[in-house]
Amino acid sequence: MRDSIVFYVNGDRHEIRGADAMMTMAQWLRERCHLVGTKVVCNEGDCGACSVLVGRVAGDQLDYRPIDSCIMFLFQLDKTHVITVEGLGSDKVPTPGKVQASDDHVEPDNGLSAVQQAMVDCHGSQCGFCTPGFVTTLHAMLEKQTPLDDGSLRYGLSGNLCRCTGYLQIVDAAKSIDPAAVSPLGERYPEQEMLADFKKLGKKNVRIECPGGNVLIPRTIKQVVSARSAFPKAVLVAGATDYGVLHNHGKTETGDVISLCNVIDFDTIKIADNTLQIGGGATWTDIEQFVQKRIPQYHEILTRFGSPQIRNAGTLAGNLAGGSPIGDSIPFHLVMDSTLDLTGPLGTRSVKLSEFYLGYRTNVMANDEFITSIATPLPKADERVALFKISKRRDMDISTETLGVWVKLDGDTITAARLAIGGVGSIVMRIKQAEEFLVGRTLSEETMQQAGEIARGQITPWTDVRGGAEYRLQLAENLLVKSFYELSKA
Amino acid sequence: MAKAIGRALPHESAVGHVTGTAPYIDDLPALRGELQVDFVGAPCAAGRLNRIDTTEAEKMPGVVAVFTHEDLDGHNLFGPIFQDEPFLVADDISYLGQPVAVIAAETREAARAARDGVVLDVTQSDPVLTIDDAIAVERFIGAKRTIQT
Repeated sequence: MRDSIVFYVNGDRHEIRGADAMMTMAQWLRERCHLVGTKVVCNEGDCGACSVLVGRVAGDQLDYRPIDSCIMFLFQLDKTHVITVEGLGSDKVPTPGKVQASDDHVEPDNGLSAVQQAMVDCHGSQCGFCTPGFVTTLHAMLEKQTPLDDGSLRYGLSGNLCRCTGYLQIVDAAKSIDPAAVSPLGERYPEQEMLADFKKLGKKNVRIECPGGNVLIPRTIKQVVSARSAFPKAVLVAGATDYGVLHNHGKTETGDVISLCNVIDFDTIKIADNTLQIGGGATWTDIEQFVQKRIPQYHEILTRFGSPQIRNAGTLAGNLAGGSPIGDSIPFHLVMDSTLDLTGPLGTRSVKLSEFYLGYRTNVMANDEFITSIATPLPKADERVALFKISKRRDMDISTETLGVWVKLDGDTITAARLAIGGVGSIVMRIKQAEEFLVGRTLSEETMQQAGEIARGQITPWTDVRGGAEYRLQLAENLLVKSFYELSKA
Repeated sequence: MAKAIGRALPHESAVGHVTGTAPYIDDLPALRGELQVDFVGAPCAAGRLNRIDTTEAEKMPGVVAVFTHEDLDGHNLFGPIFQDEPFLVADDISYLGQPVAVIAAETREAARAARDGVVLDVTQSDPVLTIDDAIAVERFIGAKRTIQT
């Protein structure tokens, strides 16, 4: 048992005890370390001004990903190396003899990395408040050797918002960077010592007593179960991408916390017997990468979920357990008839996702159960899947409506169908009458049109800031028609 | 000087921006005796403020002062060109969250907690949200001007 969280920041080691264990990373960096380069703006994990790089142990090295530090807590950072903008300056040793006379352009050996220099030269900042976030995310993209072109930048920077520049200058700056001028983070911050430290620490779980409650960081699923028995009121936190937002809005209660960041073998993703098995701790990014070639429709939806920073932290299990009617993962898993493994003191039981939800954000889990695994049959050769997410913005937006369509075909005839629609009621629901209508019918635009008309009668959407009720009814019909074209693709 | 003309010069704070060293207000080291400030906003989008009671908030731990429009000595309007925007709600509520009371306390947490100690007596009304509605109730901004031929 350890009584502290251990992590490194820009190469320096820190041990955290007491109340600080419950602080957000951004707050701790700014208030305790006076590392004020990391900015807090939205405080909700949207704008990315607070982006930092979090390096987690992956085999024999550290895997760095950009994270929104305003909604990440210190109790999620045990055994990590965090790099802030202050730690991303030039990795060249300055040579005093080489200073140039010119006084109206910035010196090459001035302590700036190639990323920072490019942002200066290409006018990538105006007020400057978003800039550290962009610098950090660009470093993260270069670390993964992502070629910086329009497409990858539009995608990779979707979690960093700028109100001043209009982004063009930032994109130009990124495209002007020579990747060879940016050394890998493992060279800038040698990892052997950190990895050895983490390995030694890794054998013990963590318990910290704070004024507000206990922080527990168990190492195994069994330890999670016993921690919950010992602290029945404890909140279970994995990615905290929902919990962190609530916390920052003052909507969470102070109390015990169980962090899942260290649970071993909890984030594995694999395929066994044509079934996709996803561990409860697997992040969206992990899943996105795994399914990119295997289930392209699912991958497409996942790339629209939140932002890279959110996907690097949030988990599928968290999205399913949260059970929001606009939970973007739910339509796919509902139409693919996924099964959840729920684990508690009495062991593990399997529940179909179609039987998991009871009502708005409530489900069949007992207070001491949690999702440890999600099993999803892969689409077979005679099956087709179409997924839709409708929101006002492409990225970083809560859905107005979502739809999942799965059909089994015998030639052109539909032999089985599942339709799941979100954003039109208190839960993501199957549209049973429309499904029954489709069975035995030919897959055609007209059939889907009729299914759409039936769907209209089955749902009761409301009007809110994301759309009117009438719009949502029309959308349901239109999406089913549109799905004909998606499903017809061979 | 001549070297500057015709050249795209970097922003004079660009290096500070990209390194995170440009000091913004919240980045500055705290001064001794510095207080943290928070505010209580109007609970509805339109209406009238009938009464404010700050006595509970003033007694809360760490709170140094609570200010309302009554403390402003009549200087409640501000603006860059026309001074016509109220700083703190005196009677008319124009938008949700419009500042009503300002709290100064020793810590951020104390200031935030003290918000619950400010009691507002408010009469809610329907907000005017469209141009047609505004014309119907004659709710205009600035002087009315007439163009005659």
